[in-house]
Amino acid sequence: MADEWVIETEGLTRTFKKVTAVNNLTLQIKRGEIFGLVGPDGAGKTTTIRLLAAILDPTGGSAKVDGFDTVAQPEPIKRRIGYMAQRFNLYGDLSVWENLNFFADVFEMTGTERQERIEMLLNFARLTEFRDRHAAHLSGGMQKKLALACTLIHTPDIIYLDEPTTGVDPVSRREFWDILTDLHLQGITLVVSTPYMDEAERCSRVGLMYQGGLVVCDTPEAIKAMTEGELIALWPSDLRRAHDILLGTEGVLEVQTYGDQLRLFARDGDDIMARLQATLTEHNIQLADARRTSPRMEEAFISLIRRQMNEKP
Amino acid sequence: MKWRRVWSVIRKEWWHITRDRTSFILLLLSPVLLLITMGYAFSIDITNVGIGVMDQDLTPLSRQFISQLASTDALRVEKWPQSLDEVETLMMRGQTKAVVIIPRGFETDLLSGKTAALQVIVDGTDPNTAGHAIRHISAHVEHFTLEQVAEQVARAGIALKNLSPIDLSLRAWFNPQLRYTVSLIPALVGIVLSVPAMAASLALTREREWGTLEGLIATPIGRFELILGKIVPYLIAGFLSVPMCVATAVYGYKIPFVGNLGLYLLLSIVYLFSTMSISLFLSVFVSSQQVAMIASMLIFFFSGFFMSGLLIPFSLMGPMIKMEAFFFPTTHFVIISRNIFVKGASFAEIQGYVWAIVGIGAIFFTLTSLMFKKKL
Repeated sequence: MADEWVIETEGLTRTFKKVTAVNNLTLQIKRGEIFGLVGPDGAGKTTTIRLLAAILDPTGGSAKVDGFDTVAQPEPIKRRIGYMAQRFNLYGDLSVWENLNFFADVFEMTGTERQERIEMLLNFARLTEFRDRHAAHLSGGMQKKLALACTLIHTPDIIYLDEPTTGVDPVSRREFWDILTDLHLQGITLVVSTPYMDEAERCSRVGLMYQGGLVVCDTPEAIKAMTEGELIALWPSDLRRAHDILLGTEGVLEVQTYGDQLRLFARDGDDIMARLQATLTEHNIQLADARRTSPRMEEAFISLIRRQMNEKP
Repeated sequence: MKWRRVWSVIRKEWWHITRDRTSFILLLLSPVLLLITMGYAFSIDITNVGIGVMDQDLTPLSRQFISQLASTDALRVEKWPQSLDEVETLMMRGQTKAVVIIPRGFETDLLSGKTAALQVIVDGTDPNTAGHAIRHISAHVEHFTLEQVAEQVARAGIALKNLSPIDLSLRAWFNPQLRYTVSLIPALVGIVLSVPAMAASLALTREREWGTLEGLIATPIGRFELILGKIVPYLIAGFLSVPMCVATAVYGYKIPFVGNLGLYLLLSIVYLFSTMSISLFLSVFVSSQQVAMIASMLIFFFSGFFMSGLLIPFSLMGPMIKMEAFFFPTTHFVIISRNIFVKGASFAEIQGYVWAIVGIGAIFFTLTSLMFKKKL
């Protein structure tokens, strides 16, 4: 199975002075998949990616990337990976073209292959017309695309993207993900960390991180199926009071607020649907609408994290 | 070691340095500006120090001595106190820095071959000026006794007994007028040329602050390639300041450049490499640009002023300080600079200092490339 698992970690742990950022993480990533690392801020996503990029040494356990140990053989790993850090990490005082050429030099690209690759990436990242603009003067979305283009210059087998779309407008976000899907179709392994649940749904598999550990690791469908009970979306007139009232109602497992609606997990959906109207009217709350719905990653995620929090307080 | 990568880092770093116009101009000009300001601040070729004379003898010989005192532009006799009280008042008010008291019997004693007494009172709160006055007064005394007295004595037909028969002739080589600036300015050139090294300490810390280092260490770039690529642009920028500094010394401070300019320029590159290796070494351990700047400023200015022999003669330093001073390239370059500038020394005559600088540079450069880890 050595060929199937391109990334394998075994009890991977990284402790900083006081905090354990990554705690006993055991994880396998398949060749060619888009693997999503999701989790709240401080869950250890960035540290995990840095450990896998061999730019940070673990304090415990080990990680292998394409068969190379991240501590003992970092250089072969660095030739095979592309790493796009969370922070914009290109040279702002260099133009788009100069940034790409610098990384082409670093990866020893030469000749026509190099020229073609740069042109292709400019086109691919839709930056051809901005080639002479300084990177610092690009918009947030364009900066991310340029960073991705620089990451791809040497045609890596594995790409790590640490929150690539944070701070990017929705249109650019979608465009960015279309590019990632293209790469996925080319057979490149992508490891993407993201705080956005809609992005997690676009991954082949998702690892949910919480407090440095992996809560669950499976396909988005399987994760969504892990939620307990049936989901009901409702639009009451007083959101906060309705939340508290319903949380105390028999048969309700969990209530989440979501914009102007409440989403509740019920042990028996039909039973709750039948009692809902009456319970709320009793407390002078009008109910505009209530309907059965299927859970999305967002509900599944919050639900799983809450369960995790209750298990180990 | 891939030269293509080194070249690429050099070019990129050069863009970082030059695209920020203001800092680039500042970087180029700062050594010259420092040379000009510090040159003025330190040049204590004091002339025209006003002194007072209290002549209690009032004889032809005492008057001759007084005119001897005023015969150069070093001293100017401008106060004539009549009593010790008056002397005290003058000194208290700082109206004069030194008073020469010629006691009664000065002429008689001298002519009879006895040792004549002469008292000099100086303002000890200003040791520089006081020292200057003392040096010049004693020179005059020596001169006066040798020539004037000999003449007087001979005219009086008295045998020379007390006077030294040796005709002492003092000559200061390379700097006949013993101008302080002649030794100061070439040494200062060495110190101000450590300013570009301070800028080099930003090379790594800047990327660390920008966050670009994180991306760079995730690539196959070699540490040696990176460090070499980082130091070269600063060497070039630093080197551009050298001719400006030499020109300022020669045309601004009228210091004759006696030696081989080509040799001087070549050695200045070696010196820049050495100092920049130290600041790069420093930047490996420092995370912010401010800290890097302050630390390198402390190191280079402290070692430059206090350990290079510029202000404190090397012979007065304790063994520990001497040891430390030995590891600062500035100490050696100050000597090289003076020797080439003023004495016209050849490579063979200064090679010991050159090898010391080369050695320090090589040690720190190697240490830097070894200590720099491609890890966060």
